[in-house]
Amino acid sequence: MILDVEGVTVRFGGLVACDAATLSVDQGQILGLIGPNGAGKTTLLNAINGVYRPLAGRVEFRGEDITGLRPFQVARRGIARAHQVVRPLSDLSVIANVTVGACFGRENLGLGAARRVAQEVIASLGLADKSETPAGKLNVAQKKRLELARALAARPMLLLADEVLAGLNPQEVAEMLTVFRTLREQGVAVIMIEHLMHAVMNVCDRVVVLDYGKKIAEGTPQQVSSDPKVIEAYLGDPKVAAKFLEEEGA
Amino acid sequence: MSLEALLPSAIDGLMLGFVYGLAALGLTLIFGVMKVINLSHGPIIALGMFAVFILFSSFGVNPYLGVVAAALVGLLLGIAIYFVAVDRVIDATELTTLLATFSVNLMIIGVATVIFTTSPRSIDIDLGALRAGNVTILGTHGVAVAVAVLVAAALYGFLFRTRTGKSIRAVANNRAAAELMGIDSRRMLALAFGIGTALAMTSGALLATLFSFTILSGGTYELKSFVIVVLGGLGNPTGALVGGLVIGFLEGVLTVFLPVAWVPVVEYVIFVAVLLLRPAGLLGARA
Amino acid sequence: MRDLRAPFLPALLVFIAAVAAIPIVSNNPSLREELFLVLMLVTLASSINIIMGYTGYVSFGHIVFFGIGGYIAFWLMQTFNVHFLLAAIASAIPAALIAALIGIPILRLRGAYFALATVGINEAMKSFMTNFEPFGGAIGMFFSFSIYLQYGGAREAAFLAYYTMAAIALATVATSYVIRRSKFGLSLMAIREDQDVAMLVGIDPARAKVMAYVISAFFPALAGATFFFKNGIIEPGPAFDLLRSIESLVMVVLGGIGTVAGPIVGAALYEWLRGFLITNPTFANFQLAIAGLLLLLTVLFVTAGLVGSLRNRFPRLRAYIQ
Repeated sequence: MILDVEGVTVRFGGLVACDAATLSVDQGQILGLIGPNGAGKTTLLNAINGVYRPLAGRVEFRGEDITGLRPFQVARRGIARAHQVVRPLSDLSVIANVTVGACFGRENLGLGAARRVAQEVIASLGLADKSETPAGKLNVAQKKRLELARALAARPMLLLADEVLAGLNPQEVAEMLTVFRTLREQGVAVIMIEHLMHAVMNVCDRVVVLDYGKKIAEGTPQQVSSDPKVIEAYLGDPKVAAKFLEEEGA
Repeated sequence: MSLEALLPSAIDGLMLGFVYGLAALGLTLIFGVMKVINLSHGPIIALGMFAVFILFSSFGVNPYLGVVAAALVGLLLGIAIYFVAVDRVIDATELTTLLATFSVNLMIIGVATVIFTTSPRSIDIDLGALRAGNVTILGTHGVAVAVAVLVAAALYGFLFRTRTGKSIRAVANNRAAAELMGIDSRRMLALAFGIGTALAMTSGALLATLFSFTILSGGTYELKSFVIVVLGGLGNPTGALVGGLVIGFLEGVLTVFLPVAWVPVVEYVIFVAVLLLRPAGLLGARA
Repeated sequence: MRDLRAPFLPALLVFIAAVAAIPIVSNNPSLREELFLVLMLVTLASSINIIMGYTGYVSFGHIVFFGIGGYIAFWLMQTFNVHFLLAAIASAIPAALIAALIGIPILRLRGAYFALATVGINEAMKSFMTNFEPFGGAIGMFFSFSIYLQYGGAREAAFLAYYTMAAIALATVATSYVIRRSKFGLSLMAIREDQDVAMLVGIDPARAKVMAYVISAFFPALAGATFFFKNGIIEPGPAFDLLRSIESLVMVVLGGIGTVAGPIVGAALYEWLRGFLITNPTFANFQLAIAGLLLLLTVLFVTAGLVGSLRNRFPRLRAYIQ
């Protein structure tokens, strides 16, 4: 396993956002992380890459204990992050944004080499013609792609993707899923938080379900989607949920 | 230095602290509502001094009536400054608003030095004094404290009891949400800037009844206001009043133990230390 | 496009050096004095631009390093008769060290809090120097004329100061350019835009910021040493002059924040404008007010400054003007 998360607990005051969460992901594997709003999914990603220091538990990346390391130390070990709320470096050009991703990550590239990597990534995500545009001037879909481009430019071994599909149209979602499949072929591990069920069904190898900070189910997408506990967590009423999932899948 | 001097110095300092607090209140109100550090604060304090001075020396207006006039002029001036210099850049970075208000500082000082020159002025009023043991309280100081307390109380009444005051606080809290509730946030921001300016002018007006001054005197009180505001927590009105008392008290008491020239060193070291250790101020929640 | 990129830095340095050479060639002392000031302001503005323009930290009291450099160098020259050039370097190193020590805590503050802290530090230092008797206290220190003899006299010393200031300005501009085009500079700009994102891509913001602060403190200290060497007298007020500090910020904004050429253009323009206003009988009295009005118009309507606006208006220029 490239990443092992064991019993990670994060607490904000009295609220336990993450309660002894345990999961792992292997090279070339896409792990879906799902759960109702407020289930602690984003918090768990933040605990993995050092934004929050877990109260208890252990995060191990490629055999090394990275619990409690600062975010930049985690990034340099090969974990990249794409945010749910896009955070472009607004005044910098698209190419500069992506170069930032390539420069300071695991490979610690020089500026020239980083720029070449950035150009490749930008082209592969269809942003080549926006290369010199200030990132703040992109539209939402383009910003989403930029967010992913910056993460991918680091050539991470593990990508933490937080709802990168939200707000995209079906065509754009399909394109993004292709990107994820390519990553899988390249042996990159991905943890994706996603609310789009058909996307999860489509691309994830395994799915972990969180509710109130606790893991309530784990398995293949098919196993998880038929788990009554999961359906209940999502909608309270299993029957409504089953119906909902059918419609969603159609 | 004798400890006998301690009590009178402390009382003197505390009384002055009320007036300092009033100036700081203006600065902190503006910051609290719109996150702008008003660098024209000093010249505005000086304008308050000169408003009273001109009314008194040229028209024979009673200085305390002059204080009221200064407050009104301050309100209008502040609203004008808001629309001319701040409104357009209200959402810009702090550098932009700092420089915008600094440009107002330059303009006021530039014009006012031509009109008033930089020679020292003073207003001669004698309201007698109250003596008890070795403590002497000058009448002018007593009245200044009373006015400062009245103004601060009026501000609290306004902010917490009136509809407009509540709207200002709503805008300070969350401008977008306030607008959704139908509050014209632009008007509230302008009004808050006006009130902040009025407070600065009022404190300047009161200071003019206590000490001699020049058009450049505002700078000293501006820096003092910074220290006080940080001490009390940026944007916290109660903090500004308490901070004013603390600084006034320190200034009074420290002079008993230290040469006067060392007092600012202590003040600024406290200032930086508070920023580093408790950025929310002494009264604020622990960072 | 890369091959077509104009050799911006050499061109800029040659231009500055050529302008700096004019008073020497024409042997014009009053022009020399004027350009000395401009070169000093270029140094101050370009240095501030590194921490403020590239990194996004408004160092309002940045003049503190000018004062520290001036005081330490002056003291070394006056008390130990240290040669000026040696004293200048010996003063810039402790100034940079102090910047590191101050920077570690205060660069954790953001926005207005940082700006206020730098004001506090400058004022603390000023009031401390006013009381610090070894450095002359409120009166400050002054040279006896004999100090200049080892440089061949007062006139020669003034020339030495001028050459030195020109060299400092050139070094500052070159450093500013190299940073702007480097990976380090990119990390600073990433921090400016979003510190949390910078951290998530692998940048150690604390380290990068302190480095930027130290570099931006080093050159003003050298400038301070040179200025007060030429001046022959140093006092707390002029050494830690908050107004001069704010003026250098104004120059950066006027010329174009975050660009290499902006602070140079801003410093030259500001000084020229001041000279024009002061000598013009109509404006002389209102020079401050007019300066304020122009600043306000710039802040409100020309947010990117002159160089920045040019770059925005004509994207093709981006390759030629940094």
